[in-house]
Amino acid sequence: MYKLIIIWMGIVCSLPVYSQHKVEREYHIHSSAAPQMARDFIERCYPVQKIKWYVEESHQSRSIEAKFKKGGKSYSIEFDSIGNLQDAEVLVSFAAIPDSVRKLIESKLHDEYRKYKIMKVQRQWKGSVDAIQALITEEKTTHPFETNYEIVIRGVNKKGAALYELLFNQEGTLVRTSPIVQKNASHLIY
Amino acid sequence: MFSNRNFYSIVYIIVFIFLSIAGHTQHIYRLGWLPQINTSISLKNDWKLTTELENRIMVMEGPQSHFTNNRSRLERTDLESVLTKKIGARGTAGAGYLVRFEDGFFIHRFIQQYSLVQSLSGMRLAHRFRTDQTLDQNESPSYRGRYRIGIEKALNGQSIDPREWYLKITNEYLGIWQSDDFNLDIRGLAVAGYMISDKFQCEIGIDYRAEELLSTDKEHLFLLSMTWYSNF
Repeated sequence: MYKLIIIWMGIVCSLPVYSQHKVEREYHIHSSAAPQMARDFIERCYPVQKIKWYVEESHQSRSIEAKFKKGGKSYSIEFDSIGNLQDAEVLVSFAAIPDSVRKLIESKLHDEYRKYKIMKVQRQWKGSVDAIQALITEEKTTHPFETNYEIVIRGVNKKGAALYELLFNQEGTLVRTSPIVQKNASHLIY
Repeated sequence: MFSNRNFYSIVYIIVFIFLSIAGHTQHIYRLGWLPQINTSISLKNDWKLTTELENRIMVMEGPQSHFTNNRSRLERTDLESVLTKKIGARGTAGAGYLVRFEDGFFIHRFIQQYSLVQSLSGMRLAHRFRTDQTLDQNESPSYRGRYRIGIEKALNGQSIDPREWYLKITNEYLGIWQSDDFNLDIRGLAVAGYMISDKFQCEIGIDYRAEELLSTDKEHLFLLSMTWYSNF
């Protein structure tokens, strides 16, 4: 029996190996570990309630993310490693996207995918600290800002079915398509 | 959206069901441990080969009133390989073969499976559907239909990353047909896992199995499960 096992494991280990894509690391941190500039901004936007802080690391960069709920909406605010505001994202429904932009996005999705299902939509705001703060607290601003839409879909194209993260700008133009690398799930299946 | 509250509700329900089943004094109880080594190798074109080596070592056995402290004995050794192909964005389908060495004999099992993994907020949910056919020279062939649901929850952040701990809970139902008889097994697993790197992780916890629930000779197995996972 044990000879059989050794032979079997030998065969398995000698098969060609293809490495998986590098996946970013994301982990929870205490608020005291977040940069002061980032904490100050969040306190101005949302002084009382519970905030969850995360660090996202990759080979190229390190960013800080604050997540909270306000008025039934889920917000995610991203900062660079020293606390400079990068962008703010709020979870919305696909129907919340303005009609004209939504139609352009739908048209693009029809062109690119044989079938698709929208899994998640986030409205992304980019602009000055004052603009983003006003958008979060009052949902309007007189400062200039930019709106993008980050959409996660399950799409079927000629390569097969996969999950994608798509970024559309406020004109409904596709800016970026990133395939979502699913983490290994062997330990969940076996 | 699936929340932490839902996760803990499911845990309470599963624990309650198992304690209700296991609390019967007439049943046979068995205590042991279950070391496992699981190696997954990603191949070209979304194929994956997973091989698992498992030993079941029993330590104590018997009815509750005569629980005997036996010497540890290696009850059986399983070697299983399953080849799967990614189907769609979240599913995999595959087939495999298991050889078991028990009481000096080999038992052969053929496996077919489909699995689906869903990402939820801060956790992942997996469904596994399996059928298998077991050939044993001392018994009639047996046929099983299995469904397993598993939840993994990262303990630090929204997803599991290297150098992080996680919890995993699975619950499986097995329908068994053998010689015109039908029986039912239910299994539950609760483990703490640690992801050492993208390639290696380990888990330790309790694997509870209620076996032959539709017969008079019900058995309850409590196994200390220890698994090493390698992913290449």
